[in-house]
This record gives sequence, C-alpha cells and structure tokens, in this order.
Amino acid sequence: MQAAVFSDFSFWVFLGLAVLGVAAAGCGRAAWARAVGLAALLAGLAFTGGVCAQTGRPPLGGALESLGYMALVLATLAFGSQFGPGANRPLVALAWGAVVLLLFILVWVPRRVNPDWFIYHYTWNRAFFMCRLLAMPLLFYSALIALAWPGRDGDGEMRRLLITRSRRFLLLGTAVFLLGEVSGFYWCLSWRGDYWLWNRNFLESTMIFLLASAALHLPPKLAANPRALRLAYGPPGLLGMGAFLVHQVTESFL
Amino acid sequence: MKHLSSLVLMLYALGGVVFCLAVGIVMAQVRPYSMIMPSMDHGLILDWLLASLGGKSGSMLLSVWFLALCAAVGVLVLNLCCCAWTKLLPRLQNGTRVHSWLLLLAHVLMILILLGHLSQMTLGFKQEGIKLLPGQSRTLPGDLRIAVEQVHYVNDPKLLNLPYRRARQVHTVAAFDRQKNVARVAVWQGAQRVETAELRILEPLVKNGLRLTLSEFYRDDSQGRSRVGAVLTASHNPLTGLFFAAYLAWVATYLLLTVQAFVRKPPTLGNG
Repeated sequence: MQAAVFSDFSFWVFLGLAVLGVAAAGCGRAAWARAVGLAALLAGLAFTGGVCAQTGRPPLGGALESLGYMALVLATLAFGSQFGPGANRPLVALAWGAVVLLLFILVWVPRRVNPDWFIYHYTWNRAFFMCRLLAMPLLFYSALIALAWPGRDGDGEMRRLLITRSRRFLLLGTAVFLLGEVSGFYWCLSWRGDYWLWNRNFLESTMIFLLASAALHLPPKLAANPRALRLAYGPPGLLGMGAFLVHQVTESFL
Repeated sequence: MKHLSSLVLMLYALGGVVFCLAVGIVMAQVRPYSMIMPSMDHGLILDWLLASLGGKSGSMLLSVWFLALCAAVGVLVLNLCCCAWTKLLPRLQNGTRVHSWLLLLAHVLMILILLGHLSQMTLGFKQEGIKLLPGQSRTLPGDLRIAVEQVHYVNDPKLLNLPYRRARQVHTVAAFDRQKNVARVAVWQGAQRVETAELRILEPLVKNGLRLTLSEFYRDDSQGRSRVGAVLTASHNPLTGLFFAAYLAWVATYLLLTVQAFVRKPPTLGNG
C-alpha cells in the first residue's frame, strides 16, 4: 500500500517535471532544461522503483508497468540528448514531449499493476517483455531524431550527426527487439508447442522488424536524401509505439 | 542477376510482405477471418492450406492471403540469395574487413531462418489443442499414441476454462501452482510403451523428435462431476533446433553490427 502511494506520488512529480522539461527545452533554456531533466529522471526512477516494489519483479505487462518504464528510458535518452556535439533543442523537446505523452496516457487509464500471472516468473517470458519494453523507446527515439534533424536549409553538420545517431538507435532498437523476439519464440514453444502463432501480435512484430530492415537498406540515391531518410527512419518507431500503445490502452479497459 | 540482387527489388519485396502483414493484421480482427485464423495454428500450415483451398469463402480468402504472403517472402529470399552471392561474397575478396563478414553472415543466417520457418510449416506433424481426461488417449502419425494416465491438480478447478485474458488475471502465482499441477503422460509406439513423464506447463517432453507440451488444464463437467484434464500439443519437426541456433546466431551477428555502428566514426551524409 505504501509502495502504491509512493509510486503514485512519484508519477505526478515525474509528469510535472517532464512537462517543465518540454517547456524549458522549447524556450531554449539549456541550463534549466538540464536541471529539470535530472530531477525528472530521478522522479522517473522513483516511480519505476515504486512499481517494482509493488510487484516484486521488473516492469513487464500492463499500462502502468510498461508505459512508466518506457517513459523512464525515454527520459534518460532525452536527458542525454542535451550533451555532446549532437545536442539539439528540438530533439530534447520532442523526447520530453514523448515522455509526457506516455505519462499522460496513465492519467486516464487505471493506474494499477498487473496481477502476478504465474507465467511472469518464467525466464524467457521476462526476457521477452524486458527486451520489448526497452526496444520500443529506442526505436521511438530513433524516429524522434528523424523528425528533429534540420531540413535542407538547416545546419548540415548537425543533420549529419543526427542522421548517424538515428541510424545507430534504429540498429540498437532492432537488435534488442530481435533479442526479445527469440526469447518470445522460445517462451511460446515451451508454452504452446510452437514458436509461431498466427495472430495480430506476431504479424505486428514481424512488420516492425521489416520496416526497420527497409530503412536500413535504402538504395544510395534515397539514402543521400535527408527527406527520404526521415520518411524511412520514422515508421519503425512511430508505428511500433503506436501499435503498442493501442494494445496497452485497450487492454487496460477490458 | 543484377536486378535480382538489387536493393530496389528488396524494397519492393519488403513492401509486399509489409502490405500482406498489414492485411493480415486487419483480417485477424475482422469476422469471419478472426474466427478462422486461429485454425492455422491447429496443425501443419500445409495441411491447413490444402484443406482451406477447397473450403468456404472465408478460409479461401485467408489462404489466398497466405499464398500472397509466401510469394512476397519467396521474392525476398531470392533477393537475399542473389545479394549474398553477387554483392556480399565478392566484397570479402577486397579485404578481410570484419564488417563484410558480419554482413554476409547476417544475410546467410536470415536465409536459414526463413528456411526454418518453411520447414516448420511443411515438415513433420503438429496437433494443437488435444484435450484428454485421465484414461483417454490420442493416436498420432508414425504409429504413436499418447495417453494421459493421471492429472494432479491442486488448485481451484473453478478457475479453469476461462478466456485467455481473464485467465491471465486470475492465474496468479498464489492461485496456480505450476510445480504441483502435473499431468502424467505415457507415449506408446505401437504396442510398446516408450516414455512416461510428468508434464508441467512450460516444461515440455522432448523425446526422439516428438515434442509434447502441456498448454493448460481444463475442467470437464459433462458427466455430473467435475474432472480436470490436460490440453496438449504434440509436434514433430526435425529442424526446430536448427531454426533456434540460426536465430540466436543471427541476433548475435546483428548485435555485433550494432556495436560496430556505434564504434565507427560517423559516415558522410548517407545511409552508411
């Protein structure tokens, strides 16, 4: 009960600070954005810690666990985007905006942890969910970078840096996603007797991987065009996260 | 060969597969296809395909969708093979860069994975959802027979036979003891008993290529009193291990390529 109250309190603090993070980044207040970002990151850690204290396991399924954890990963990436040669104000604002979006969904869906399903204690099930919950924000971050890089008339060097970063996170997100897929296949094989099932979840997962593959295999002409790259790097993260959110929100009300 | 190995063809093939998957996602949620699609999991896809091609219009359309998906994947495999042969393999002669080796390996492993998928759909046998009460048995291909000798279920049987989502909520660690709930199963080859095992959920029996999986327990109220039975999946595929080995190797290769992408200096404007 105490853990629930603590995590709920941390949630509101996390949300409030993330909103401030968007505002500070949007207004170009770099020092404020860093300070608020650090505080938001700590609040996110407290929130996720509180959720874990309630369940006694890592965040796995359900809106509260998954969205809270993904918001924490995105907050880490948003905070990290403020440093180094590729520090970019629109990217920081977009990343904090994504954190706010995920947390805002938790304002109106029931904020409750998932019942402790016995299968959650199976190693490969955990590996599947943990990889999926890490891969989604990584892919989403790659898409946000694609949205944030300057157009043709903007800073060419910044564009080059952000294109490279977007590609790297697309690769990393896909690799983690695939690690989750193979864990999920093994879980499914042990539970249902086959590693593949013909349903929406399996088809969606395959589609996310193929969209990432398409983005990583552009012919040279298209790969040299920032606008084409933007169109290619965006869909894996945007559609993947969109599909994931639809699942979580609809399941929350069932 | 040049056209078959081109990135443009690959994008078209990927586009075709993605389109088919999108159609499949819609079909998985729209009646009557949402009711028919789970039947694709009941046995080998090849058997389902042969049966459904001559079936009702719903399953007919689903099988046409499946064939279109296979055709698009077929073009992709052809492109992968040609690309590996004409582009990635010659790159190795120009030097021994680790990156070139990893790229070739990733593509070859992808081909193996897709072949593994094909074998899972066409080789051996699969029977899903075999419901057996203690004392009942089921005959399988290859003169095999499985019999449930005893079911030991220590939790509340009233919590059985629930829809998936509801079951996921009530079958908590406290309400379902995975270690204590067991089904004692015997496997017969002709008149000879070849194996006896206690099956638990998530702990399948694998013996001589036969994989016997306990998916869930069910309650049977048909004879006045409640009895608990086992829902089993029996399957046999000689290449399942190979598929997983290829998949793991592929993911490892992908991770190495990712590490390389992070370590390498940013390339000039382009796709790397």
